Amino acid sequence: MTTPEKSVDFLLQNGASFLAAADAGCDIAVSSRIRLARNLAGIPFPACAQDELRREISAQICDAVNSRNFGGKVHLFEMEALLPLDREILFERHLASREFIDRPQGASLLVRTDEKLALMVNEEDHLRLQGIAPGFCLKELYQAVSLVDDRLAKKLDFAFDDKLGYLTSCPTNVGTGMRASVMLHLPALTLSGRIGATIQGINKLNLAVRGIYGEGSDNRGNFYQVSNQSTLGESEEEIIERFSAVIDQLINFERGARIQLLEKDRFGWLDFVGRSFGILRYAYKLTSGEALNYLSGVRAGVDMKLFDRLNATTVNALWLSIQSAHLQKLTGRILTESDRDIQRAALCRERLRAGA
Amino acid sequence: MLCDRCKKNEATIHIETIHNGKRVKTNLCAECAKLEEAKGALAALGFNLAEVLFQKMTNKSAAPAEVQKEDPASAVICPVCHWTLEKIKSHNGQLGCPNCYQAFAPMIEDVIGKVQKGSSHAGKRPDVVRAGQGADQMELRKQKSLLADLLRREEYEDAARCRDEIRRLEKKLAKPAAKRAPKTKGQTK
Repeated sequence: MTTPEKSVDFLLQNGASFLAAADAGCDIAVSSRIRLARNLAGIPFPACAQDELRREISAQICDAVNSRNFGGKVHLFEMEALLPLDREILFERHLASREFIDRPQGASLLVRTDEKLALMVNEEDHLRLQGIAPGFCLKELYQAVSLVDDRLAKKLDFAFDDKLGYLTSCPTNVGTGMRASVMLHLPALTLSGRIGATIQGINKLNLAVRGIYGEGSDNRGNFYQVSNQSTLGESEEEIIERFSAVIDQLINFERGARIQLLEKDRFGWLDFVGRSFGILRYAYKLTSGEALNYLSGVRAGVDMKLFDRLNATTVNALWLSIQSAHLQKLTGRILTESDRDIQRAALCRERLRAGA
Repeated sequence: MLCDRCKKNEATIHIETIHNGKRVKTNLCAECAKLEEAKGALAALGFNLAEVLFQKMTNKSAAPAEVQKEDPASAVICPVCHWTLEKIKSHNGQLGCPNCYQAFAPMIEDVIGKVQKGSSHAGKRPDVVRAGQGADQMELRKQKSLLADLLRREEYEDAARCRDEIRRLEKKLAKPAAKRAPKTKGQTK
């Protein structure tokens, strides 16, 4: 069995997997994620299981996972053993959900070194296997995640029904247990006031739209997470095919909206980019929401090559560093909300000094 | 917090939507959510539909005590995890264990009918994976998806080749994919 890590600090040397290596292909579809929900046959789901049973489940699953079937070195984080700030780091890096870190008893996280593969044990389901990568790459991602699922299926007996497929804690996930999602950066659709109609259209296609941190989070920084709602009645490939066609269309809508804004309201668009950069470069206090919204403007400027010396890698790194837990790790101490705003602004000023 | 719609009952369902880039919060009681859901207004919002549907079911039994006793839905208890419909409702529509799918079958079918696109699983199967035919199984699903695409594009020659490949794979997979009854080990604790 893998030895549990004592801290998450070594992860901070990496960029987040979902933001790393951003290039021209990742300007609108920032990242893709495939998540498979699996449960052990005949065992109560995590919400129903007592803490002791949750720990037994965790030990059984962690025993089944090794570096060979995970495709690379795997790190184990036991939530009970981690400091609350370290748990927050995992959440901000999209490796763990809020629900998962809020009930740490028997909750374990297995992460491959490149952070592109992670397994939450005892979230809503016994296993939540996720693959995450920058850009729009659902098909490749599914193949990689499915392969790990196959390897685990040979060691673990998953709850499965001939008619209903994989049995999940919530019937909204039953069947494939698969949730495919793409994080989209849609500043032009938002700025031109067309995002409301776009979201309504997406919802009518039985797809869900959420903020960057999933259920209940808002659309900070003009980032939207779109995912499939239905998990039963279609194969994994069919779901991905249908879903990808919608994402392709959304990317085209945003690209069109950016061009249209440049043609019809050139100075309005340039002002959005320039003002965003100006505030981040010179402000002395910034809340997290403010900073993310202005970073959206700077990122749009980088995508449209409006800056000479600023690139997506700098913006991505800043995007992660200004999140509350990362900011506190960076400064090496627990900060009050007001102190965080001051430190966040200082970080933005420093990192953007070389830009533009 | 009172329900935004009737202004009388306590709001138990909270929905956030974005209209023209602005966040709008809606708070509804179970009764009003039921009415909105009947209009199809909630399904389009992408929130936890199971929660509302389970609330709706248990509210069916929010009748006089003597009627409630006779309501079979409220009396059901899962023999494995001992969860009731009330317990499921209090956990936002999450079930207690895999056996709950059998114990609450009629109610769950109702939820699935409203939330899911179909009623039968069409994806990968762990028994086929264990038999070492996961790759064939994935290839079969890919070919089926390709066949639908080719037929849509009226490319019949390629579609015929694809159909033959599907038949070959189905034949190959037929034996190990023998149906298994869902099994329950029982609560380990």
